[in-house]
Amino acid sequence: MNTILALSGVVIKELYRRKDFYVLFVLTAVITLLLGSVSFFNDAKIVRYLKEVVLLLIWVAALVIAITTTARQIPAERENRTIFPLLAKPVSRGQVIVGKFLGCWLACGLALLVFYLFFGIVSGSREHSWPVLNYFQGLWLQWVMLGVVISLVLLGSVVFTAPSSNATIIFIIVIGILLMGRYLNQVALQQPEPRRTILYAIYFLIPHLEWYDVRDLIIYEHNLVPWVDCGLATLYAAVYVALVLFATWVVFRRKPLSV
Amino acid sequence: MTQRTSTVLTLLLLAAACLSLSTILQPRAEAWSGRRDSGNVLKVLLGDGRRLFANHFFVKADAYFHSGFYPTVYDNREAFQTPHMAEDAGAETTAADQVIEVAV
Repeated sequence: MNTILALSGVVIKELYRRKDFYVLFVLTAVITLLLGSVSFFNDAKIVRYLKEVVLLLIWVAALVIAITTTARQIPAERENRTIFPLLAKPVSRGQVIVGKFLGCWLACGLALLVFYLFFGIVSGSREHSWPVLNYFQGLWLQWVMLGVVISLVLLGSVVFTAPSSNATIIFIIVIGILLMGRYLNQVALQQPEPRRTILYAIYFLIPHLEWYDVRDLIIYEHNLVPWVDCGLATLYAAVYVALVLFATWVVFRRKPLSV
Repeated sequence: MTQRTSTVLTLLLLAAACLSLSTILQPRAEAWSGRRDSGNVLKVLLGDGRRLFANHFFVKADAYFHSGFYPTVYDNREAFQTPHMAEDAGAETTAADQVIEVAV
């Protein structure tokens, strides 16, 4: 466990040494403050519109940070040949994968925390209400969702040759699932057999990232997601992460390390 | 049991667990994540935030409708008396049109 934590510590240090996070945070902050300073016909609902836009920016920024940070982890180690001294120590390939995953996931969690803190302060100062539990559930479910995305990127980084192609493919998959994942079962219903069953099986097999999009919970202050459902969603993501990381290990354990 | 077989079985077990969990979670998730269900990409992405940009896009569309010529409050408007987009299409002037006229 100490080895895994040491590996993940390196990834977290990498996040705050690189400029990606700072650029995205400043961009989000500037757009938020700009939109927050505008008054549209004294419309009281304007805070809600602002929250929609800012949460979208947070989602985009978090996805960019998660995918770009994870995509370069293993390829960079191989290109710089630092993977050889790393594996020469008593570190197995499985530990490298879990350590990289944990580091990227924790780094994304830290970034999300900063984003949500800023968002909470801005919207709270305009709306004068602090639904902390709604924010917590929104943040937690988004973070859990990012865990699945990070594991998919790690699998991509041992399958695809370049980090850029990996990042592009994962971006397309993730955006596709977020926008259209929920309609696949409706499409399946209109198909004849056996296509219907096949499509339904695919629908239940793909990672349903769109279930973790609970922005309305924060924007409209809806009732909280039941805690049992929240736990089930976390369990689902954990099992999915385990599946993808196991598949990553299966591919990576026999992969030649020289570029 | 060979290592290969156990690897394949573990993968299958995890995949089966994912499938089972998603069947349990799907009806529950509809209740809390299906609120954005609209069939419109912009609505899924921006929700009510679209209204922030609505006025801007309407004014831009109107300017495009007038071939890019759109007088500001500083220009001489006498030479420019054509009605706006909605009126050109046969609609009567609404309160929203008047607001936009004031805005530009």
